[in-house]
Formats: sequence, C-alpha cells, structure tokens
Amino acid sequence: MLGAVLAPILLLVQLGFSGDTQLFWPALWRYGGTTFVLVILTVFVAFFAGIIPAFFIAMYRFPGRQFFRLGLLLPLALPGYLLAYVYADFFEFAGPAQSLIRDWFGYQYADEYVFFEVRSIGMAAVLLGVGLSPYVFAFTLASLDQHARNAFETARVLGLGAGRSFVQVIIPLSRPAWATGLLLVAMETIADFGTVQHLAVDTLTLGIFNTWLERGDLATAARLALFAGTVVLLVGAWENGQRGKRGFQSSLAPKIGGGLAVTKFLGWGMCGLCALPLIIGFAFPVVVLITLALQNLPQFVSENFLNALGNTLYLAGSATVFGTLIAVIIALSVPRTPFNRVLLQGTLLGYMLPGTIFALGLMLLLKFLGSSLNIMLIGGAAGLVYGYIARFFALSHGVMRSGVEAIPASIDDAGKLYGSKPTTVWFRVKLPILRGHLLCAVIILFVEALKELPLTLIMRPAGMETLATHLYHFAGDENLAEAAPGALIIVLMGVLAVSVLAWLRKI
Amino acid sequence: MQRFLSYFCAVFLIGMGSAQATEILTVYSYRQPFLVEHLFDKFAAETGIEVEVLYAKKGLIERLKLEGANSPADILLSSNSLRLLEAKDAGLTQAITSAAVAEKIPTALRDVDNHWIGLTRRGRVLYANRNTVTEGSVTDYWDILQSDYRLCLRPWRHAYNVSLVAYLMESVGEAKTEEWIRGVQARLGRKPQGNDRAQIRAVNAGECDIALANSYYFGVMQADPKQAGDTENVVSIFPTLAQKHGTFGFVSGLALLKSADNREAAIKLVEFMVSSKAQKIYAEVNHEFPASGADKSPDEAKLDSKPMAQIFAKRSAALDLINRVVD
Repeated sequence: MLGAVLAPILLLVQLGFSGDTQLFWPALWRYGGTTFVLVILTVFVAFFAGIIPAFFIAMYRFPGRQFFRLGLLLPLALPGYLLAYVYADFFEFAGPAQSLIRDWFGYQYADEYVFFEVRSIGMAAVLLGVGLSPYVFAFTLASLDQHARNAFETARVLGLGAGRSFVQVIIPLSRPAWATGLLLVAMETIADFGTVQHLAVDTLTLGIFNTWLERGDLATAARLALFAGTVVLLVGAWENGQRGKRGFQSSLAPKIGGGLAVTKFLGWGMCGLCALPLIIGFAFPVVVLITLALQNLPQFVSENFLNALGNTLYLAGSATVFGTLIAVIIALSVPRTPFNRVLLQGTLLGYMLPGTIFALGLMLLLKFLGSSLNIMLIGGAAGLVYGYIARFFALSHGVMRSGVEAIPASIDDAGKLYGSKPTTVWFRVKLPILRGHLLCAVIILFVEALKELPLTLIMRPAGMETLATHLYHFAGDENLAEAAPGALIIVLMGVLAVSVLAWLRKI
Repeated sequence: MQRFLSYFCAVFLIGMGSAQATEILTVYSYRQPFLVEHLFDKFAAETGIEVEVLYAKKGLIERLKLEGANSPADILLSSNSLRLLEAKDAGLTQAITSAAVAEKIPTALRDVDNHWIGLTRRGRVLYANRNTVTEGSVTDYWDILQSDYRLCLRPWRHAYNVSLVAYLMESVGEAKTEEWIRGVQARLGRKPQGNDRAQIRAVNAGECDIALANSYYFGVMQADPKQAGDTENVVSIFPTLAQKHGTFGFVSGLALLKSADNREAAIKLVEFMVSSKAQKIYAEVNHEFPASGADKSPDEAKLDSKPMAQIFAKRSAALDLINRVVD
C-alpha cells in the first residue's frame, strides 16, 4: 500500500529534478510568500478561536457549557471551500450585506463607505482559522480537563488574577496540546485549495494548479509541489516529535465537571465568546445555505443535482468499499513490527500532501502505467477511485489499527488452542468485536471522498460531476443558490462524520 | 462477510459495465454546460449517439497530453480558438474532412489544415455605466484611459485577458500595449476578481464606471429575469482599437482529436454543430454571432477579422508582458 501511495509522489520528484524550471524561483517567492503570511494569520485566528472556549469550558460554569463541548467541533463539518462560497456570496459588493447597507444609508458606490475586502488574505485566514479551530479546541480541552484545573485553582489561591493565571499557567501548561492543534491547522492551510481559489489568495497549492494548467509548465509545477510537500512533511515530523514530548504531569487526580462559578453577566459573556466560532464557522453558513435551498426547491430534483448525487455515491461508495476492505485486511494481517510501522506511517504522506500535488503525481503514474499497458487509466472512474483510496488510506487504516490493537493477544492464542485457522478467528471473533471501528472507518472514508475537491476536479471522467465539483462550478459562476442543495448534503455528511469522530474519541 | 463482498463486487461491475452499452462520443469542453447541453441532447435524439462531456475551465489540454493515445476524448470544445490552436500545436488534433463543414464555415474562421473550426464569434467589449459615462464619449479601447474612470476586469492572467493583450500587441505593438495595461492598472476600481458577469454587475452597482467583458454575457443576463436587474444601468460598446482596428473578436469552436476512436460519429457531431438549425440555436442561447452567418448585424460587423493564428503567435509574449507589468 505504501508503494501505491508513494509511486505518484516519486514520479513527481523525478519530474521536479528534470526539465527547464527557470520560472521556479519567481513563482516560489510569489506563492510561497503568500502561503507563509496566510499560515501565520490563520494560526493566529485558530489559536484564539480554539483556546479561549476550551479554557472557559474546562474552568467555569456558564450557560451552554455542556453544549459547546461538542458543538464547537461542528465547524469541522464544513469544508473550507463551502465557507468561502457562502461568505463571498453574502458579503461581496453586490451581495445581500452590502446591498442592505447601501439601501439603509442611501449610498451608491463602493468608495462612499468602508467595507472589508471579501476576497482577501484576511478573510481567508478568518474562515480557515475558525473552520479549523476545532483541532485546537479539542486538543486543548482534553488537556485542560486532564490536569489544568488543579493548577489554575492553585494559582488563584496563591494570589494570581484570572487573566494572569490564564497567560502564565494555562497557556504554557497546555502548550503541547494546542501546538499539535495549530500544526494540524497549518498543514491543512497549506493543503487548502477551494478556499484560497475562491478568495483569490495565490498560495502554493493554487500556484501549482495554475502553473500546470494555465502555463502548461509541468516541471515548475512539480518542483513547486515538491517544495510544498517537503514543508508539509517537516511540519508533520515536528508535530510527531512534539507529541512525544507531551510531558507535563500532575500528581493530583483530574477534576472534570463542576467548575468555578461566575456572575450571571460574565457567564453570558463566556457563552457569547464560545458561540462566536460556532456561528461564524457553522450556524451562519448553514442558515444561509438553507435559505438559498428553500428558494430553489426545484433544484433538489433537477437532473444535474441528482446525477451529481448519484455519481458521488458511486465514486465515494466504491472507494469506501475497496478502501475499507484493504484497510481491514492490512490491519488484521500485517503485524506491528518497527519496519511495518514506518511503512504504514509513510502512507500518511498521501493524506498530508495537498490534493493538487497528489493529483499531479497520480496523473503521471497513470500515464506511465496506461501507456505501458496500453489501456485507458486517466479519465476513467477507476483512476479516481484509486486516488481516493491511496489518499485516505492512512485514515481508514488508522481507525482499524487502533481497534485491532485493543484486542488482546490471548484471543489469537485461544484460537490456536482450538485449532482454528486465523481467518476463522477474523470472521468469527475479531470482526464482530471491530464493528464500531469498521463503521467509523467506512464513514470517515466516505465523507472524505465525498467532499474531496482538487483530485476530483482534475481526474473525474467525462460526464461525471460529483457534488463537490457541481458546487465548484456553480460557486465559480457566482450562482451559489442553485448549488445550495448539494452543499447541504455535504454539510449533513460532515456533521455525521464529526459526530462519529466525537464518539470515537470516547471509545 | 463473503456474501456481503460478492454483492458489492457485483454492484460495482454492473456499474462499470452498463456505461458501455450505446454508441458514445466523449467531448472535453471548456464551454459551460448551459451553453451546449441541450444541443448534445438534440444530437443524441436525432442520431442515437450519446455525448458524454467533461466540463472544466482549465487543464483539459494538459489532461489530453497526459492521456495520450488512450484518451477517451473525441472532440475538444472551447470558447476560445486560441486554445484549439494550442491543442493543434501539441499534436493532439487531426483534420476534419467534411465537405459540409468546408461549405458552411468561411475559411477565415477555420484552421488552415482544418484541425479546428469556428462555431460562433463574440467580442471582448466595454460595458459602461450610463449614469457616469457620457454616451458616445467612449468608442475605442483607448478612450477608457481618458478621464478618471474606475475600471473593472477579471484577473489579468485569465485566458480572455491574455488573448486581448495578444490582440493588442499584434495590432499596435508591445510598447503601446504596455502603456495601455499600465493605464488600466492605474485606474482599477477594485482588485481584478470574479468572472465576466461579476464585472457587469459591478458596473451596474456603480462600483466601476467601465468594465471589460465578453459581449454575450450581457445578452444572457438580460434574458434571465433573475439577472436582468443587474444590467439596468449598463450599456455595451463594441469599441475600435486605436481608430484603425476593430473590436477583438473571439472565435469559439471545436477541434477533432487524434484520440477519436469513432471518427465517423465525431464528424457527424461536427456536421451537426455547423448545421443551420444548430448554429441558430447555439448562437441564440449564447447570444453570440454564428460562424456560418451570412447577414451580419451592425455589432458583428465591428469585430476585427485578423487570423487567429497571428494572435496565437503573440500569446506567450502577452503573458510575459502581463507578468512583467502586473505585480
């Protein structure tokens, strides 16, 4: 499986080191610089949108506290591109928000009043930062629940104010947790395609896309892809190292529940602050989409929508069936030796690399295979399904592996004592135990494949729009209303996946 | 478990197999679905040949290059014949041998070797806000630089703008073109963004005084009750260039691909597309001028008729110029 994931990437490496790439450095400055600024801003937004609610929820009793524990995971249900489509549509010059302002105050032109630029790097940072803040939130909250309450109470007893306790005790104490979250945010930001594309922020992913498809310069595109890929890998490796050092221990038993009392006024203030990321990252866009969908009810039965839905089910469904099957077999049969562990870690590459990069490598691989076997691989559904499986293998395998490892070795021994074949033990004992994990793996793979945009956009067969590409075309055409039904289905599936993830954290 | 698996395999195989029952043509289209879908449906109803389309704004030629001889594609459809020339240059196309096509489409609107043919034409024109731009004061691409108009256009590197710049370079030379780009750049009402429709909307809402966009969007928007309101304050102008040349006219068209397995069916589709009734429908739905058109409207007569190959030759220089002048 590692070979299946790595082959496309290796071809990219080979291409990146060949050919004429005089345009590489200017392109790198331009796109790399923008990416750097965007990552810094996004991380900044995600930090505050994640850590403040986590702090309040861990420490204080205020209205909605229990709801926010799970509710603040919801922004993850919306892919970034969906946020960008909704906000650009709503806040651009000709959109409802600015039209209303002009109506109220009798303005006519843009230069008569001040309004923020929607298609800007700042907007992209806010949307990506809030949309990805659940990573920071979830990790930080788990860490604070574990051991920060005692420390915080001690700090308060020793005379430190609440604000200073937060800055001097809580933030350093939970650093490994939020740092992990922020690194994930950074990686996802580098990998993002749909959001930056719609908001006209020229990051590396977009640079690769344009250099390849608009300039036709495959070699420079490959070299840019390698650069972006290397950065993502370094960030990932650093994150891995950080995880090992998560070393703050507390000798006291964790205190969960309860919490410090606050005044009514303060409590509602906390509730408001916690609601903010939820509103920006979930409630507002969903309400807008529902409104648009209600205005366009016939779209729910339009041929294009139904076709896209059918194709999505077919493609994501095939990827889920075969992908989960492969993940289950590997998780059950490949023993956990250090060598295998490294191999399986390597498959994470497919997931960590931006979709455009993976697509580029995959096309090269399929071209190579297709021309040597003289069959059509690019432009067929099978190629795309292969892409989904390879790209998301690490996720489905990870879920299955965690389940398999929780099964005690004595089960295998018992099977041997009874003289059963290992496969009998798989089917009769292990798979029934792994039901829950199997369901998780299926849902995660299905939802990831369903909302995947860049790979699908580049590789889909003729006559096959999926929900994501259907949405991409309409949004690009500034006609979001007609795509609202498709968007809602993606959201619904996303909510399902987030619920499963929340549940998975408990088992 | 085993039954479960065999069930899924069966469903999968049936799904793969059912796609190959009827005669199918594959079209890669840079044109949007709403412009061509109904024509392909009509073709299918008449001939029984199904048309499957891959729609994309970018990358079809790159994908054809990677797919090579195994590509499923038979025909490439584009709103911009420069792209068809690019496909020809990459060795992806073959000659369309059809007397009916040669008869219908004038030589100026097809490739010298008949690798591609034009289907419709439209102008890259100016849209002015009727409240802020005096009628008759802007009739040339150069006039938009005369007073302090706020200008709008889509991103410079979009193929439409690159093509226009190539046309300017071919007509008035590089130095004058650079001066024009700098002039436009200095008068931007907002950062270049959105599609052509968004430019017309911005003029209507007063965000800009003049915008550059293609002629047919205006017609499409006026015909759609939901969008007609966005055109109330807008007039379209087919400008001259430096008083000597006409409005830059795009030729939309199609190319026959080398990878076409079913050449006969593909030629049938080409002949259908140039037939009088298809030309009429295509042009009317798109608000474009049919390539086979005999009687020209006053606006159509303003379109420049330089051969596309000349403009194509300037395209990469045009992109370089844009990259040099714009950020």
